[in-house]
Amino acid sequence: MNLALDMFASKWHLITLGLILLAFISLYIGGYDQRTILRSGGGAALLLYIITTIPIAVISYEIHDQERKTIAQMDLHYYERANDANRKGRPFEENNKLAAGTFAFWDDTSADIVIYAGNYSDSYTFRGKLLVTTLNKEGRKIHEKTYDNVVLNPNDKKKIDKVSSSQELDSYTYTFTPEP
Amino acid sequence: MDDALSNYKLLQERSDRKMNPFFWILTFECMVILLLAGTAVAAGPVYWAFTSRTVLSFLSLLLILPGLWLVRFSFRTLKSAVWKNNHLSEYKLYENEIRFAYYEEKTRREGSISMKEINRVYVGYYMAPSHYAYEPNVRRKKQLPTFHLLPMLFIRYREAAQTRVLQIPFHDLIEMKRWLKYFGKLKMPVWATDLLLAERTEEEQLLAFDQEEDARPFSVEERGFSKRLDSVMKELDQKRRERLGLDAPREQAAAAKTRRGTASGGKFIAPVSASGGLRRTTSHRSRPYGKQSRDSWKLSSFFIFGLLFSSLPLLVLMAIEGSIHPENMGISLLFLLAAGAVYFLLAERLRFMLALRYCLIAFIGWVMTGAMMPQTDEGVGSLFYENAVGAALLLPFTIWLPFLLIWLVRKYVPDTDEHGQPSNLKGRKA
Repeated sequence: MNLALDMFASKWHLITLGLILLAFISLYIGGYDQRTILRSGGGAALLLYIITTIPIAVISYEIHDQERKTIAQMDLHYYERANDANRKGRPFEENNKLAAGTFAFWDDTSADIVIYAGNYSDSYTFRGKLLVTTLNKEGRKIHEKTYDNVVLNPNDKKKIDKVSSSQELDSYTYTFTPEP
Repeated sequence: MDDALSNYKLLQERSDRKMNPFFWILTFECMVILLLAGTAVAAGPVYWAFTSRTVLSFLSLLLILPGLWLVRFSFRTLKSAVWKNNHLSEYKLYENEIRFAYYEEKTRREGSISMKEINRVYVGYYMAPSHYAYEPNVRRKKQLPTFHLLPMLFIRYREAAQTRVLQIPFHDLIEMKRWLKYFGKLKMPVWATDLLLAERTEEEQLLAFDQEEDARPFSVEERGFSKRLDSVMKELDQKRRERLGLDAPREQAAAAKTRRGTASGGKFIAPVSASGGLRRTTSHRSRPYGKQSRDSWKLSSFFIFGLLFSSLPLLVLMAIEGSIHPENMGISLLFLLAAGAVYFLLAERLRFMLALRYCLIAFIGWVMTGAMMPQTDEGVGSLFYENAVGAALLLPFTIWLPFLLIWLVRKYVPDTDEHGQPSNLKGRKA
């Protein structure tokens, strides 16, 4: 995802486009002269773009930030695991180059736990289930869910879910179960 | 009106304005969004009931009627706004005649009046609702006046042995003064009246002019036009008060004002005359009724919203204690709708915007009240608060139930005065 594109020309800007079109149509139906249509329509377009872009940009930036941090966390976790396996002389097979990552984004009293899954293989496509369990400091489950029909193409990293919690995320476990 | 046919010089021209493009776009977009929202509110429950067939989905069918009402309202408003913006009246002052083309209801009336046919010109005022939306420049004011009092000329003339009246509305005094100067040059009799006659029928206008009690000659040649016009208006008002015996000591007058306010039921009443506080800017708010009811509205609104917002902590505590189920969204919705019903009942005018205003204030206040409570941070309190916020989110769709109910009540249940007697004046005091 391109951050600048998402902030300033995302699919949400289709709403802006709709409103801008409506502004021009309104001026035409209202019987305004061509100059007014162009001038006021242009002004409305600019104003509508600014008004709608501010929240879209803020939300897009937040989503990108969450994605970046979660993927970074997942990458770190995977490479630690892979390096550890290499050190032990048991490098991962292609169908084992999978990882999940979770990251908690706190907002005063509650957190959004973002869950990502990644396929680090260049050739293997994963199709199956993913079980993710998030745990707090005491080792108690915060959230546990099995995601069916997960498809991860080679080098694919995608968002699986976002859950809300008021408990502090400490660790997580995951299990990839391929379709038979 | 064909200018080419006239051999005489065009002196002045006055035509209606289109709505300011900013307000036009705003109105149009809001109405289109409302139209879509109304369609969704009307059609959504049908689809939901067909697909899910649950009790809640069948209950949601009650929203069809408010949805259809919303569609009808937005469509009619839009249609009328488009028509008004495309049918502008025109008045032209030539050396020998006045040419006009205006709309009476939806019929275009065109014609001309020869200067010889004019027997008297009256200077008066008319009420222009939402005039700010028709001004060339958008005013950056916090509050935009509901209406303006703008100058108007009433041309009394003879046509086929009949006396008739042509009313020419103006946007400002300067514009009107140019016309009057020409009439002055022709030594035409110019009178001033403080009666608001624009909405009256031609017969009523003629009757008012014939009585000559509420008008007096006005010189357009002398200096200090607007100041003199103001003083004439005040003078006319004073004379009318004396004539009707309305002038009384200050205490009595104040008491009379209070009684009048109560009897009027707080409903917005258009002033019958333009005098009493006329300013040179001719920009007015309704007084004293408008001011009085506005203040009362504020007081009652603070009371309603205060009670509503203070009910949330109570509900949260009840949920924590186990008296209410934490996922009970219905009770929050009930409180919000009940407060809405009281708000609509006490409002001076039941306008569509009132419902939107209520939704916005109720939502913000409701959410903020809950957010400030430590009990809503976690556990049962948090769960109940989530449902309470959900109920507030449903307001734009559900508020139409109390709105419709109060609308029916206000329409069909007669008001009573302070003695419990039915009053023929509609509306309620806030």
